[in-house]
Amino acid sequence: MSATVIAYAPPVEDRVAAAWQQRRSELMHDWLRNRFLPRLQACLAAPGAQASPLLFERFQATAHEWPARSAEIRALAEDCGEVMSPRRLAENVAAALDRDTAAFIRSTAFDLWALRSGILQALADVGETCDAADAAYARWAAEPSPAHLRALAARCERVASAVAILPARPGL
Amino acid sequence: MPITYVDDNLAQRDWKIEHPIAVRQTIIDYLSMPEPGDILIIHGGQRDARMIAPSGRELLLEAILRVCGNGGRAIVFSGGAPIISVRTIRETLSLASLHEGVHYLILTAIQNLPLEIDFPSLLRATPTPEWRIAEVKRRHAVPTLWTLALLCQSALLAFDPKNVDDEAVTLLGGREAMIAVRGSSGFTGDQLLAPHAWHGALAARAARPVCDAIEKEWPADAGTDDGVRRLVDALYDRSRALDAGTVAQAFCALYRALRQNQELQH
Repeated sequence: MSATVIAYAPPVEDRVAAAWQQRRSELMHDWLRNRFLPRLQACLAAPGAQASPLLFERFQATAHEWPARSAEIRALAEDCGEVMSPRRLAENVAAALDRDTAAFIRSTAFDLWALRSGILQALADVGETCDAADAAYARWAAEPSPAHLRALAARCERVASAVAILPARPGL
Repeated sequence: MPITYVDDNLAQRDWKIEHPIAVRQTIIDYLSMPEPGDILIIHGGQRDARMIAPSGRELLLEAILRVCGNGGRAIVFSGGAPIISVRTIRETLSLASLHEGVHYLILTAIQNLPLEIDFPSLLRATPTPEWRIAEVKRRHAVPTLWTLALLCQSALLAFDPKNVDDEAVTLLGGREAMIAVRGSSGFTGDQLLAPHAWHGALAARAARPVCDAIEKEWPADAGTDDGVRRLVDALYDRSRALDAGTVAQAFCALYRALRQNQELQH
């Protein structure tokens, strides 16, 4: 038995949570907020909502990434449930305990967190907003009208809002 | 201590910046201020970050060098990465003998700045030449506090809810929730009522290393850690069966401490 108290994780930062946060940042901040949506908005801002071929092509070059990015957003949310759950932190606590006590700590850590944080609803919201954005994307891809583009922008904003409220670090 | 916050996207943020921190929208606004101030908090994705100053440097670097060159400190934050690469910022500041953690911080992939920076501490700080800006960065690695909090909450479920005090019950989500969560686990957690399980989970044979770790991890302004120390005392110095009151007091103190350090977001 060690004389020092190192119950879990590295001494300075929770790198697992930081890596998840980095993923969220690249996907939602760098791609969606700073690339996809500005190009989409540029098309909508064109006079008479008729985007120039150049603006339209520029958006299309990014727009075709949506299906893959949507899947990444869903995966990000799914991983959040594990990465931010105190059950992950409880793993190392439980390692020194008998099987039943360890299982008790793991399950109560997750259940109490889920109850208090509302995380399950937040994750469901991400899924629902992605479904709606996927449908809006399909409508726009079939008929690239300004109305469908506006609808896609609105749905993507909702995805961004739903992902933004997911926690950035484990909760109790 | 004059603090300036520069952000051309503040209206979209999840946080507010209030007096006495001065808010400026652009880097040019900041550079126009007669004094550089003691602390500059600046968004690394500013639209004017890459504009060139009369010195030939980009405005973002110019602003950081202005405040740090006058003995102040800078915090550069971004939801992703700064427009000017972190490597370039570090190299430029290094040439001016400015060191990360001491003179400046670069915070990338930031979702919520107050979760990363302890603003109350920042407002109280006095930047002496030795003062490290890293001191106001919130510490998110508090393994001993986390371990104790996890053990406490599980142990509280093992007690009869009627014996757990109201504050702890509220923090746990209510008596009905306690009963439901305990029931769904399929176990009773009785072993957590005796100290030896805690000794193993804490990986410590004596109270001293646990108390030392608590002292290091306990956030400033989180109130007293007496309740936690009483628990440790019960666990090691008077090794005996635990009572609900001792565990509940410790849990409430730990919960407050973790929340004070923004470990808990709810």
